[in-house]
Amino acid sequence: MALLQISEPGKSQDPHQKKYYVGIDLGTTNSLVALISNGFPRVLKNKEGSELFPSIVSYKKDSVIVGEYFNDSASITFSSIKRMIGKNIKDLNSSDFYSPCEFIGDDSIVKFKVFKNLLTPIEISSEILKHLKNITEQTLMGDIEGCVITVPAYFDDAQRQATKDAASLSGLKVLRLLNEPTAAAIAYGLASKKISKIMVYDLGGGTFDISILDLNDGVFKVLSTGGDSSLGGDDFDYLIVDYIQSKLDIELDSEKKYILYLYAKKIKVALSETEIVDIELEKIGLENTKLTFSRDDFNLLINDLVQKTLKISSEVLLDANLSVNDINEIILVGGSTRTPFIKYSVKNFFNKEPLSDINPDNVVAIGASIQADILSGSSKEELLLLDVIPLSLGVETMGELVEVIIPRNSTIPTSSSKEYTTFKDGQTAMSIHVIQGERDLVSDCRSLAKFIIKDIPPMLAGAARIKLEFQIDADGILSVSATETTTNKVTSIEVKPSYGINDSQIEKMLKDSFDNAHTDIKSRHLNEAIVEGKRVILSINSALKIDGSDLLNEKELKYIYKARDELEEMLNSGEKESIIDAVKNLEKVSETYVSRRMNSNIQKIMKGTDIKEFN
Amino acid sequence: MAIDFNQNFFELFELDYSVDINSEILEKKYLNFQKNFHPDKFVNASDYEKRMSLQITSHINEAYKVLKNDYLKSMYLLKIKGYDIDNQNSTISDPSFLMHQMELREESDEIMSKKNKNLKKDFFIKLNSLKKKFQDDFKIKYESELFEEASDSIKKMKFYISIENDLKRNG
Repeated sequence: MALLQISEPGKSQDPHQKKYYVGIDLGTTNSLVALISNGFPRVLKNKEGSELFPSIVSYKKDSVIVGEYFNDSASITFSSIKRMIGKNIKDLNSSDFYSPCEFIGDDSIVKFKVFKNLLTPIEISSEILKHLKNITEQTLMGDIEGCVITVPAYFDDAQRQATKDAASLSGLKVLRLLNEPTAAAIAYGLASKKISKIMVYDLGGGTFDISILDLNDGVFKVLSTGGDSSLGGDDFDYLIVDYIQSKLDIELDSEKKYILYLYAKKIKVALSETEIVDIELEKIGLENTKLTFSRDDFNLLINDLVQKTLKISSEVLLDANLSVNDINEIILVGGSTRTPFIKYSVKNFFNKEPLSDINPDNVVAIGASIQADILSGSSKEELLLLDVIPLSLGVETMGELVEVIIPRNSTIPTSSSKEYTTFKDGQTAMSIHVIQGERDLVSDCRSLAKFIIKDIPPMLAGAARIKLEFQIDADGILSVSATETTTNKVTSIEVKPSYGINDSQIEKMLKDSFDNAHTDIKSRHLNEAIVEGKRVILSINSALKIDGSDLLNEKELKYIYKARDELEEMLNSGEKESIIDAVKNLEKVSETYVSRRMNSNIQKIMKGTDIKEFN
Repeated sequence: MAIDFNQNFFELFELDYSVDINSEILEKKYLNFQKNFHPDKFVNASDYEKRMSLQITSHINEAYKVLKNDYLKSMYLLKIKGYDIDNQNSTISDPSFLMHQMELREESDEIMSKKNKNLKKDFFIKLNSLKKKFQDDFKIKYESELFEEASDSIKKMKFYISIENDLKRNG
């Protein structure tokens, strides 16, 4: 319930310019876009009719191509860039790090030398999002007004921030980052259940994620997560290749092996439908050899890997203090869950039929589109998601130890404050190292950022009291502010992110990308300002009509009217800055009013939950 | 401000000052707060409203966390009475309890090294019942307004919780 907002964002201001809210599943291997159209989810298709947009970015000297793999010397191609986003080389597993070109970076974010440019995983990911945005806007003949992007439930602050940065670089407005398992649960409409514990089993091409969600009266919580970032359907393909080689007792060269690998994918898919297949060995130059491969053979091959996923599942259950019988629903996500043996094994393990009606490739994107629709305000569905932070947040203390400030699984948004003092007379600066992770030692956790607090008033050692306020927003992203409490002076903070990029860098990248764009940014900004101005006027008018005279005295009303009329005048001035200033001014003079409205609302809530109801 | 940040958590949720709060009221009020103030409801609102929503929900979440957890709630009850255990020396001087602490630590170390799930489970159950004993103890003392003694019960509860956390982290 936005208090001062009545315009329905789903309805366009200008009938010729349609606006859309979409859900984006930014995947490691493939990405998808979905939206709610006439009340039903619709997954966008590419030119070839596929809903899967490969998350591959190929740079040529003067161009970028997304979705196609180029293996020539004139191209530099990145795949699985999601594995690297928001991380520096130091904390990447060797299986996650892959560079098709020279790169720099040791203690900081990795930068790839792509022709003349140095590019970070954020910029490379933004190309995928830019591509999705363009295709969507061309297909729908309208603009994306806002989007919900899904991220793995275990993504930490830096990875979430990096994903958001990639989105803003691509020109997308992110309404919310949504956890992938939560999106799957929303897609299945489980949000309408009263109470439920949901297990989401997500086996994609290269990653396995498992999460337990707790749903209580429309409120989702992530209870625990686990997985293996190098286990997926691709491993099944390699196993088939190895099997064929050992059966024929040959060692193929890398080119033939690759052909066989692509063929193995087809065999795997075919075995979901049929019991047995004849392997066509002519493909690899063996004309007179026959080999059959049955579903049972396949099941035997992948059994170890499947058991491994179940072992991780039971660990995650233990972590949440639950047993198999506590789970009410199991959702299968990811293309690899089409394999009958996986469905069967999951069903056996949980003693329950898993949900698999929705195409497991699409389910996350569909959930995201539902959430985008709700956040846009155009849906009637009442759904509230409450998430938790996946990893504890702390600061470094003496002896390289971590002091936890916000423990993992705290419901977000959340904030916490901590007081520090100076240890030298006249000390005016202080350094704070923010850490994320569960271990005791700083070196075992991830470094998120280093802050230098400056302008501390010089005092005797121990006299200054610096209160640090850690705030985590609904996307799981951290911000920090510092106040000297004895003088109430707000000290300034200099942020040195350990990964990722800071705001000024983003601004520069944005500027660079705008400089290269052909759209007329200036007029777009002016239009945005005018639309925003109109929205604010509309909202305040309607709010005043409801309770303006109840909550405000004449003088206060006069101030608001004055600010509103000034804004009205500015709308025709053609000056972006003046309009923005007038909007800010109107919002500022209405602050008291907004507070009172919120307050009167609280009183309504309190009245709504009369003690008697419970007796 | 939209909610009174000076109210204590019991006032905010209109609950009685007690360990045994009405959990139905707590849940219902919490959901109501969230449904009205969560940032999801303000994605298209002004920056000021977004900031307010963030502050309010953070505060509500903190309050809910404390009220949901017996140990945190007990500490908070004493804090309202002027006994701030967080900033107090938490050493326990009761010699028999010290012996008991050492024994439990040894048992926990052994379980950590054995990595046996069933042993661990049993040990958690044992810790829980021990903790419960001091929780009940706290309640009686708090209600009799013996706040010094009540503090002592909390310090003992704290020991079991720290052993539990260590085992969860390293076991």
